Amino acid sequence: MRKHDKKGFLGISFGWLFALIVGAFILFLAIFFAVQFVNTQGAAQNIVTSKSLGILLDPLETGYEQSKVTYVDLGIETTIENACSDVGEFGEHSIRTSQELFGRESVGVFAASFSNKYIFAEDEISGKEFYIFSQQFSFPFKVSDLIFILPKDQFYCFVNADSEMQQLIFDLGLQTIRNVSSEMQCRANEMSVCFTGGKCDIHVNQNEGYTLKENVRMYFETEALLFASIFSSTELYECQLQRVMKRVAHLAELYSEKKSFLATRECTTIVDVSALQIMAEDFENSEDILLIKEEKESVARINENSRCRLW
Amino acid sequence: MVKQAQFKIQQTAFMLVALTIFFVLVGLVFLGFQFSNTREDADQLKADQATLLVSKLANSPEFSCEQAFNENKENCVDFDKILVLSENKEKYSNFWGVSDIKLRKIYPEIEGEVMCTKENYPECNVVHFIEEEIRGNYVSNFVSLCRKEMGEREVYTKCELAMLLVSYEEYYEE
Repeated sequence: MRKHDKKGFLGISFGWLFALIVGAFILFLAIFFAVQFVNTQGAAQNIVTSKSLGILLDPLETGYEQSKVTYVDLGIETTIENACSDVGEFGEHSIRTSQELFGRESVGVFAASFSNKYIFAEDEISGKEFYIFSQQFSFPFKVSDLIFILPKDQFYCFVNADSEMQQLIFDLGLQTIRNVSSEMQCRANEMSVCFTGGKCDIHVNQNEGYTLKENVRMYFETEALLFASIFSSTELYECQLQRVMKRVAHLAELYSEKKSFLATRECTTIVDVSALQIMAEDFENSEDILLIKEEKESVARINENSRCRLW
Repeated sequence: MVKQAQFKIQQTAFMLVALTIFFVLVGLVFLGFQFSNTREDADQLKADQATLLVSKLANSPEFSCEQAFNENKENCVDFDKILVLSENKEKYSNFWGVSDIKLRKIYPEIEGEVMCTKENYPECNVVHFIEEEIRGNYVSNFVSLCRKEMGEREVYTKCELAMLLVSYEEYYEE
């Protein structure tokens, strides 16, 4: 009997070869889908974190109090990116978070968007822990609470701030802001903010009502906007201010209609917010604050002395 | 011999295909389970959002009394203002990120559900802000509902008890 011992090139049968090839293909598919799944879960986790962060901001709505502080510990290194759009009735603020997953940064999408929140921060902030505080903004009626997000390891050094500002910082209890009398006392890792001239990263001119940052002037009115101009990037500040003024315009319209409605119920007032509404609707950039603030003060005085107040 | 080899090859091929289909099915079941967890997470987030919102909504400028009644009142809703607001629903439809906000006056009691309009104000007990037909779960909070009322000689402040309700929609399967 003749033995068929003719050996092939590789010395293995076709069946084994077939099994090896298909097995390798199946293994490749399994690894591919596992990686895709991990990425999807990472993205989902980022979206949940963004949305949760936005929901955590809800209790910051102030009532009697002027400001509120809260502290958030996200547990892992997180980058929060802020995006603002002033399109639409109220505009929108979006948050995207990116967290470390298996040693790699997993980037989320701008899935958490809010029309009723006004968040001021740098465009991108990173850290595990954040201070979030809010300041009530009235113009002259309550418009909203402006929310500020500061990473715990971002330090500020306020140089020659007035006693009112110093007291406010003390009352907020933020450990990342120090009051000093000279910019020489600021540390290398601190962002210096000068209130009376000097060589600082940020300059605040309270007399003329603007903050100079990266050679850009951001005009402010009230303490809330002063904080916003210090802690926010210039683009985000301008965009959020646009959104805030849209809300002012809508609220002014609401009060105008309330005035007409109250007149039918024999509760009359001479407060006229129509000019304020128009100026808020035509608001283009922070410099327009210089034009609108006089009208706001006039309207506030009249309402204060009115028998039938609108707010 | 050749036929036997071919049969073995086919056997291996079928086995591998069957194994692949099996693992695909296992993967689909697992993904389905994960997706339902994601759905529950989304519903929980919506519930949390509605609960937090309802506790603070009365302090929102569109609702709050502020100093319209000559004193600071917390958890006070200005009835005059929200009646006007309810007629501007379209602008605020996506503003608060919930599916519905409703205010119901509970004391003094009014029989049935009377939707507030300028014609029947203040003898009404329901103000709707966003949607007319709601399917969802409600969370609620008690507030004082204040308005200006004309007395014999002068305008005075009248306050009643109301409930602010915020609705969120759960994920429904189509």
